Amino acid sequence: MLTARGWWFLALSAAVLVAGVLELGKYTPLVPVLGLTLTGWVLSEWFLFAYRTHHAADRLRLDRVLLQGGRVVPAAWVGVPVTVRATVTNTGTGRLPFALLIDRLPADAVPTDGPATREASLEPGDSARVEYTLRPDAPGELRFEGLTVHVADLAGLFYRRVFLRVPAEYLVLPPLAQHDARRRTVKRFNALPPPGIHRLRKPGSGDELLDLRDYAPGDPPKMIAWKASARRGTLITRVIESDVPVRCVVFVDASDAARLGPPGRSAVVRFAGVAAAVVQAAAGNRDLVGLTVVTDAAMQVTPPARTKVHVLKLLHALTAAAAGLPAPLEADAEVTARHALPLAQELYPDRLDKSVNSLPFGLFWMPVTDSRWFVVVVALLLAPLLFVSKDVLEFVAEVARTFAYPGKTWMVFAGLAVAPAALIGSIWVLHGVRGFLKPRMGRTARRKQLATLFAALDRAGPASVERYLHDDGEFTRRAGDFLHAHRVRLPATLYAADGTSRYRNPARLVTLANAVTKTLSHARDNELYVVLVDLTDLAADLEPLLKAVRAARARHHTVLVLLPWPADVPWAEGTPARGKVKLATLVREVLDKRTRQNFELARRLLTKAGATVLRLDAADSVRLVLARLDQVRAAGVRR
Amino acid sequence: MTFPKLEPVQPARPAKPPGTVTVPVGVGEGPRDYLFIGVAAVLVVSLVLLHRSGGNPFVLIAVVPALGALFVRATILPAAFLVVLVYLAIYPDGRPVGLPPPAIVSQAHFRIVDLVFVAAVGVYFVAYYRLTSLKYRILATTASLPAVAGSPESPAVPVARQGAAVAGDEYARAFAQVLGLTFAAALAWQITSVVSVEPLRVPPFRLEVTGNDGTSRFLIAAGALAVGSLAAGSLVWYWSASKMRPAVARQFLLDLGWGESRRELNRREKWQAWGRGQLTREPFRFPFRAILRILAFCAMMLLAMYVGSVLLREVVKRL
Repeated sequence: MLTARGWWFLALSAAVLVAGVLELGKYTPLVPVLGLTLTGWVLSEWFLFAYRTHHAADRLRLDRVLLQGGRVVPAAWVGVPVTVRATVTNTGTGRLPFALLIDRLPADAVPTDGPATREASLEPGDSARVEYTLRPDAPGELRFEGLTVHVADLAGLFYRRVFLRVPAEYLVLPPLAQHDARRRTVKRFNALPPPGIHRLRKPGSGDELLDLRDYAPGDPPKMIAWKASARRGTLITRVIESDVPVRCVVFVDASDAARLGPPGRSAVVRFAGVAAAVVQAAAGNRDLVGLTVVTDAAMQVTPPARTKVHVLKLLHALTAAAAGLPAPLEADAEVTARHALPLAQELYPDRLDKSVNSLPFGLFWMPVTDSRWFVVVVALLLAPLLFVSKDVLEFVAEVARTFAYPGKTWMVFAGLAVAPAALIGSIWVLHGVRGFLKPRMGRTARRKQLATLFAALDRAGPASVERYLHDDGEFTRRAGDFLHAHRVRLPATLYAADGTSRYRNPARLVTLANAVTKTLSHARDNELYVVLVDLTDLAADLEPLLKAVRAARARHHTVLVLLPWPADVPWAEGTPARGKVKLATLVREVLDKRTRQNFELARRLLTKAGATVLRLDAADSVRLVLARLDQVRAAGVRR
Repeated sequence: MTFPKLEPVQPARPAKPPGTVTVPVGVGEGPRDYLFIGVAAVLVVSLVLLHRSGGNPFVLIAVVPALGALFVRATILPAAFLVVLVYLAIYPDGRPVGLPPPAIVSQAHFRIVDLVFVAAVGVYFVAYYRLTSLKYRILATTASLPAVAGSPESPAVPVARQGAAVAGDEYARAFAQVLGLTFAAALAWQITSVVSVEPLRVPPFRLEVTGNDGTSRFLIAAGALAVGSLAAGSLVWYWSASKMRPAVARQFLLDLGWGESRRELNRREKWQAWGRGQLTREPFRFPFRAILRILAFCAMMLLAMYVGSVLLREVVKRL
């Protein structure tokens, strides 16, 4: 395509050529020869550019690898820099004298070292590398869509953008908790305990001495510490550590409500980070650890185990949970199209070209038969039938005699005969051209281009194109899927008109309670349930979860519930603003107050049911959570 | 339990602010070379203009915009240079004497000076545009792309070509291209000037060594343009179609199929939409409440008017 510079120069040289051929060539051959030379230069550059576009730009190959410490890795880790290397190879026969390579970064990823762009001149067989470093901040997924290649001729007269579409997804695993997940218990000897003997300070029937305490009636005599009893003059009983491993099961809420929020800062991402640390801490203590990821209607259960492979499997499951996006709710078709088209233009420039995605004239014409005006048109069409009636004819004749000049009454009849046709024509034209006016024309064009793209991607037929053009529901669903697949978030309306959350789904608590109950059915002694769930808007519907917690406590299991606290809501209630208050401030205060009330209610009910509730602040480090976790696990020790 | 040890790769340099497009602008010898080439071309043009004008220094006014364009960023200057050159081509000494000027076609073909002049102008424009790409920007049209949510690309940043990327054979290729085009243009003009078109004869072309009239030249140029455009357009279309990738070709056929069948499909979709509307439409209910409200409102208004009129009458009576 010609750039503005190219258009101007082509117009100028063509003007000189036309002037030379038509008139000025009579006086001197300089002008036409100059015009021919300059026009020929533009055209020859055009031809060369077209050749290079087809034989080089369309034949570029993209290879991408992730490197850590100089080695190719299949996944990245949170907080560990990873080098992205994209190699573009010219496999065609033409050469590209100028190509600007811009790698499309994953959403919200910012290179920490090296630019994601590079200028290159690619001869046939040449390669160019774009290399930069990313430092993922949150677990999830890095999705690389591909690489944009801007191709231009050396004079800047022609330009084309090509997108090398090679989607690649890499998991960002939670951080390896080498420091944070270090065991909290006091280590008393330099040896790893054998499997099955954990290091928790909990009384049991193992071999290691845990504590000494006063004798209580009923204690077995063999547990009396005679030396200590002799020193103190009273009976002392030995308390032995338990040698039953603690089975820890982590429940992670990965419902749509937990996935809301800015990328990398949603509740589920925080859950995944904390759960990963809990999993690794439990594994570090040689406990068995399991994971249950609960979505709105389903659960994914990984039974407790102890191996390294198992821990990595759990980390992958947590990463997959953190990578999910909230399912798009019902949205306006136009809003969806406005978000989907720029993405399609960026990723599929070849599919939106008018040569393969046409916008015919008739597409924009609005036929009058589809509107209520059609009734008027039919009425006007039938109007001449009135002249069949003798009374109507006499009435018209009377009117004509009254208003028309003598001898010109035929004009009135002619006018009455022509008027309906003229009116029909006017309505037809005026109604039809409305389709070419803003904003209707842009809306139709967007819809058509996306409809053809979706149908082509789905390998569907022309009927799908027409379906997407006319069925708002189908179009919105498909466009939502398109955005979801490319990890672009559609702005969601969080609250309904009555102030309730649109993502509020009490059924997910039933799913969570079922998951806890199912785990209970396979439970053994000393189980620890860590439940990471967002209950901000479900405090009044906790009954299923409370039942499950009560059942767990009745079987002497420990339940720890971690509730996230929204980062943008202050914990302490501030003084209400006085005087002139903006409506937005007022709404914000009401919502904050509701959040606090819901949190307090959930905390009270869960505590009453026997669970330990912790608030998961944004500022809370994983270390703090683990410290609290250790306190909870050691709570049963009798001193 | 131990985990694989990972050695974090520390960044060698401090982090850059996001959105920075790091493309060095105008470094290397490329800009300097093209600047020299441009100035040399302007000198050649000046010499030819002086030669044609018989040494009249006034004609050197043409080179002012040309030199200015090489040093200052003003897009109007090359256009002004070209317009002045055309003027000086018609009136070599700069004075519009003898309107219209005498026709000199028959003695002007393949004069070496003219060819040098045209080639120098061509070289100047090649050097000017390549220098502009090196100094200012080579990509400017990406800004038309709308922003995508989450897209890190910053298309509004103008990108200039790196001077270091200028290849050594670039100059020779450009000179050869311009020289070839100059000779081809002169040859084409010669052909259009000596071939006369006579539509009523067979064949309709006749060779006239002394030169033909303007009508023949125009007919030949227009015919060549039409035939050339048609042939080139067909060729390019076929070429593009043959190089189309399978996925794009499939979409091309899909779009073609939609264009052929869209009227029938459109009718079907509209009927289906009507059917869906009927399914979701609520049953008709007589609006009792609304009518009652309207009646109550009217009654209240009448009552208010009555009371108001009575009160007003009383007030008027008292006054």
